[in-house]
Amino acid sequence: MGQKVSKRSFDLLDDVLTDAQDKAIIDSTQKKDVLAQVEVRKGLDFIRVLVSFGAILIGLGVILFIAGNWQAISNPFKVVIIVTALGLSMGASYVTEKDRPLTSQALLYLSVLIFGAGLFLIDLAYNFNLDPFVLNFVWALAALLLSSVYKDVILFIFAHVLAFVFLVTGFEENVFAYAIPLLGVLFAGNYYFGFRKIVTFGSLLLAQVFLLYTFDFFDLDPIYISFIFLGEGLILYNFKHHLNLEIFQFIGIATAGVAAFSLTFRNLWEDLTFIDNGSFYAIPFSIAFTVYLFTLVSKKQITPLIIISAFILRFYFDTFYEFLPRSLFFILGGFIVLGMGIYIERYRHEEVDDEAH
Amino acid sequence: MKPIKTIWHSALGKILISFFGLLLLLSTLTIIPLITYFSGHEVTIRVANVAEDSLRDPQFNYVQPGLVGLTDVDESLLDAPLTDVYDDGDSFYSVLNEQTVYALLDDVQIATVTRVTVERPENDVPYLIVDDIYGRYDMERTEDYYDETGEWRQFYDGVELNFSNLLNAIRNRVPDLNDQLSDGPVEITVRVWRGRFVIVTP
Repeated sequence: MGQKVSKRSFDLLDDVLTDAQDKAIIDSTQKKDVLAQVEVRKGLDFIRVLVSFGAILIGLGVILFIAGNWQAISNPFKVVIIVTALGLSMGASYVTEKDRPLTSQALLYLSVLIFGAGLFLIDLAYNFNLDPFVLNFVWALAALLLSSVYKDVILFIFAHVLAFVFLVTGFEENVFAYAIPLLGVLFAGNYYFGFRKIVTFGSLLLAQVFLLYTFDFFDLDPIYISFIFLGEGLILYNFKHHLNLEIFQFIGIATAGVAAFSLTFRNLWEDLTFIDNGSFYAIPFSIAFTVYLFTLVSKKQITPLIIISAFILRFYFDTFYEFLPRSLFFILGGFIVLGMGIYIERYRHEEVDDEAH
Repeated sequence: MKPIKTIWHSALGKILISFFGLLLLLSTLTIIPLITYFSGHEVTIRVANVAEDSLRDPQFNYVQPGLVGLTDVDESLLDAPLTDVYDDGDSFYSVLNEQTVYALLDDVQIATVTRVTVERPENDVPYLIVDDIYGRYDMERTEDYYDETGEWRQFYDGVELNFSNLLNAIRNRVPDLNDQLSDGPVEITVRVWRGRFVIVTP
């Protein structure tokens, strides 16, 4: 059986071959041989569209019927419905794996979503009163399981997103026993997925959230949190290695930038008992960090430039909001943002051109 | 030599491992309820429709039909941080926003709240986590104070504890709870373990 192509592609191929035959490049036998290698894919016919539409309507009706009577359904039957939906979705994924790999993959993603919905619905049905972070943790484990079995990077990234939600919902709770092994597995996944940049990015971002959670759990003062993130970000940025260095640098400078941004506020410095006037420290710090960022910009890096822009806007708002008439303030602010946008875009183009040469 | 193809590598094997793996993960949800059921303290609570109780004054804004009977407590049960809020006439919302509030239960025939505290109790003490807490407005005292001083200040006359999670679970278990409450209080047996609960009867 030949390769399936659309009717349009088949006609195009036929035209090219006919033209080649007319020009005596190939003979009719060769043309037939080539055309025998391809097969026109069945298009949408009326019956097929009608059947698909009917199937969607029936499916929608079933879903609406179940949703409308959810409260009246007994708890064991709710579990049966959830497990059946999960089984059907995974079964369909298995059946379509060979002929329609994309559909199969989509059904696998649907299975993870059904599993997550099932977790919350079962928790509600039986009033388990489990903490949301527990449910998100189990959901992340499910995404991890499927991503490892199918070596699917999208599911692995989704596991990162769920781990992020798990950490955010776990603030104020003691989730170290869950979070540390989970982070370990997610970092180990970098090796499993061939150190893809997107995976490294997700893991590093998650590590920052975990650090923030840890500092918050131990009630560390915001000023110290900012200092630690500043130091950590600069280490990530400046530590040279060969493992997705640009991702480490991006996360590093972004973390340091956010920490430095918070340190531009004098109130934060005044948390330190020996400091009365925070401006005395915040302003020199802001200048020093901006100078440092400019040295990075001179090395053709764009992220520091974005951070500098954020600094400029922050001081513009802080300084002029009270003095200027509102309309003038916003018009000027708009010009500053536009100017920065144009400058950054031009700078980015220059960077791309340099890389191309 | 042909490599050995394990079940893990076949499409069917992958789907089966994934499906049963997910079911296994789903079953982990039952771990804490099972521990609560087998290790928890068994207490019986009385659920009453306090709004229709003739002994209660129905004018309070927060008395709603179907509230769990053990929600109405005396201010003497509050611990120091909660007493401060109570005495100042402040809202308990800020406390709940920052800290968990625990209601300790006794295990007499019908359990009552013996202490309301922000300190986490010992694990072997039966307690429930309070979902909401508010003072019952003492309008008379508030108005008297206004007449005397010309200033508005809130005074309370006792405390209402809301265990909405427990109430939802009971409603789930007893769909005709409101009908049953119209005939009188209903007794529910629950097992509590570290603030979590499982309904045993009905």
